[in-house]
Amino acid sequence: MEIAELNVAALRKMLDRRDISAVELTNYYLDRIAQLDPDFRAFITVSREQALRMASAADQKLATGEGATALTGIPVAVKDNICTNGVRTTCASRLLADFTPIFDATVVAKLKQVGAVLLGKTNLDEFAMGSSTKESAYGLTPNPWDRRHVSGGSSSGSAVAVATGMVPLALGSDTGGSIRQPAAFCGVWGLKPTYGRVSRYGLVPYAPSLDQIGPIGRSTEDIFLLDRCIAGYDPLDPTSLPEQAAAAGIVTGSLRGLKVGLPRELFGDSLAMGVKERVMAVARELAAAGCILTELSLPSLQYALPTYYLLAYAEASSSMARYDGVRHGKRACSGSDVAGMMTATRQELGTEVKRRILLGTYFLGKDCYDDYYVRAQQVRTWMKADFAAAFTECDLLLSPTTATPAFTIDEEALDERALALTECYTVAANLTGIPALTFPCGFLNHLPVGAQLMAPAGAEQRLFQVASHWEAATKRQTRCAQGDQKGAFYEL
Amino acid sequence: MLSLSAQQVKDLAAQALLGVTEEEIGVLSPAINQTLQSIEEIRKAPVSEGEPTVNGGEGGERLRADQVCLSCPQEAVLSNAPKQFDACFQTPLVLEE
Repeated sequence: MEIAELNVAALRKMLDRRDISAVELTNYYLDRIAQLDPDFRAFITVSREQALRMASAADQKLATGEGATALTGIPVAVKDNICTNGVRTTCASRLLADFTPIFDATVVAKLKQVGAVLLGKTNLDEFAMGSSTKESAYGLTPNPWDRRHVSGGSSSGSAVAVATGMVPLALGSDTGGSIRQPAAFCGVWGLKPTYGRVSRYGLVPYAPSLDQIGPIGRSTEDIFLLDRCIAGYDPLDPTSLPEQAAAAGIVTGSLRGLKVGLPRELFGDSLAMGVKERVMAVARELAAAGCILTELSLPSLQYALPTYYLLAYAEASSSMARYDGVRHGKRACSGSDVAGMMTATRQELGTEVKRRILLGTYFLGKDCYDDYYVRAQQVRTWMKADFAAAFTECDLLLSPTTATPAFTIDEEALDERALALTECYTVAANLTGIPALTFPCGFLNHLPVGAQLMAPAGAEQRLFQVASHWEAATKRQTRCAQGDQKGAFYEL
Repeated sequence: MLSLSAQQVKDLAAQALLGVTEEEIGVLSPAINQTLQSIEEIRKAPVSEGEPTVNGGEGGERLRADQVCLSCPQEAVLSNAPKQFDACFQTPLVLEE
C-alpha cells in the first residue's frame, strides 16, 4: 500500500520502527503536494523549510523517546484561518494576502508541542464564508473524485488534501458545517467538536458563538488522535470548557442496547434517494450490531436554516468590522479621512463576504432586531431543549451529512437552494453546540456519501465508538482519490 | 415581508463602511432579498415567550482574574501595521478639519 493511503497508526509504526524517518516522511508528502496540488489548489502556503525543521526535531524526539506521542513526526495541514506564527494566514482573502501572525493559535501550539509536522495552510472560502472555495481569492479547489464537482467548504483545502493523500491529517473549522460538508463530499472523516472543547484562540472568527476547530482524517482513529491533541481547557479562550478529561483511546465493546435516533425531518423529500439508501444501510448495520433504532421528531429543525442565517450573519458583521486597514492587512490608499480609507479598503472583500456583512448589519438594525434576530436566539433556546429531549429517548442521532453528493461547480453557482439543502443537515449541531461526526458510507454515481452522527454535548466518545465499530464491521478502508473522473475513483 | 431596494443596500454598505460598486449592488440586491425571503419562516416559530440564547456553550463567557499579564511585544504588534508612526498605527484624519 502507498504511504499516502496509510492511516496514522500505520505511519506511527513505521516511524517507531525507524522504517522511515520523520524527515523522509515529510519529504514524501511535500513531493506529493508538488505533484498533485497544481490540479487542486488545496494549499495556499506550503511551509517547506519549517516542515523539514519540525520533522528533524521530531526525529530527535523519536530517537530519545522523550516527549514522543502518537502525533510526533506526523504531518498535519492547517486551514488558513487558523493563526500560525511566522507563516502567513490569509483567510483566502486579498485583504490578508501578506498578513503574518505574531502568535500561534492554541491548537497550533499544541501540535508543535507534541512534535507534529505542519506542512502548510489550506484553501478555504474567504473568511470561511461559503461551501465550495468559489469565494477564495486563491482559486477553487475541485472535488478529487470528479473535478467537475465542488469539494464543499469552507474547509475545502483540508478535506481535499486528506482525500488525495497529500497529508494524513488536517485541521478545519466548522460554523455551519464547514468541516462536515467538505469531508462528506470528499469521502473522508470529520468532526465538529462540542462547543468549547477546542480552543478558538487564534481562529479568525466568523460567528464566534458557532465556530469550532476540528479534525479531518481518513479513519475514526485518525480524527480521534487529532481531536485528543487539540482539545482541552484554554485560559486564553473565554468560551473554553473547563475540567475536560482527555480520553486514553476509543471506547470499544458491544453497541448492544445503544439507542440510535433517526430524525424524521432529516430523512424527508429533499433527500436524494441514493443518499438515503446508503445512510439507512448504516442504520441496518448498527441494528445488526445490537443498536436499537428509533424514529423521532425534532420540530425545531424546521427553523434551523433561518436561525443560522440570522445569528451567523449578525455575528459575521461584527467579526468582520476589524478588517478596516488600520492595524493589519491591506490598506487602500484612497480616502482623505479614516472612514473613506476603511470603506475603500473593504472594497477588496469578496461578494459573498459582503453579502453576509450587509445582511448581518441589517439584522442588527431596528427593522429586524426584535422580530427576527432576538426571535432567532429564542429558536436557538428551543432547539437546545428539543435536542436535549431527543437525547432522553436515544443515545445519539444518525442522519445524512448532506442531502446530495457534491454538486457540479456550475450548479452551485446558480442554485442557492442546492446549497441550502446541504446546510440544513449540519447547522443544528452548531446552533446547539453538540458534537457531530461525519464518515464516508458509500458512493452515489462515483461521488462519496457521508453519514452524520450527533451526540449530547461532551459525548464525543460515543461518536468515535459507533463510527469505529461500523468501520471495523464493514471493513471500510478508504483509498486516495486521484482526481480524474474516468476510472479514478475507488470503491470503499 | 422584508425587502431592500438597491438604494437601501447602498445605505447599508455605507453604514458598514463597505465599498461596493454598482455592478456588485446589481448582484448583491437580489441575493440579499432571496435570503430575506427565506428568513420570514422564523416569524412562525412558536417561541414568543422563550428566553434568547446568546452564547454558544454552557456557562457563557468566563472572565479571568484582573491581573496584568504579558502581552505581545509592541514591535511585533506593529509588524503588520499598514502604516505606523511613533509606535502608533497611523491613519488618515479621524476628525474633519
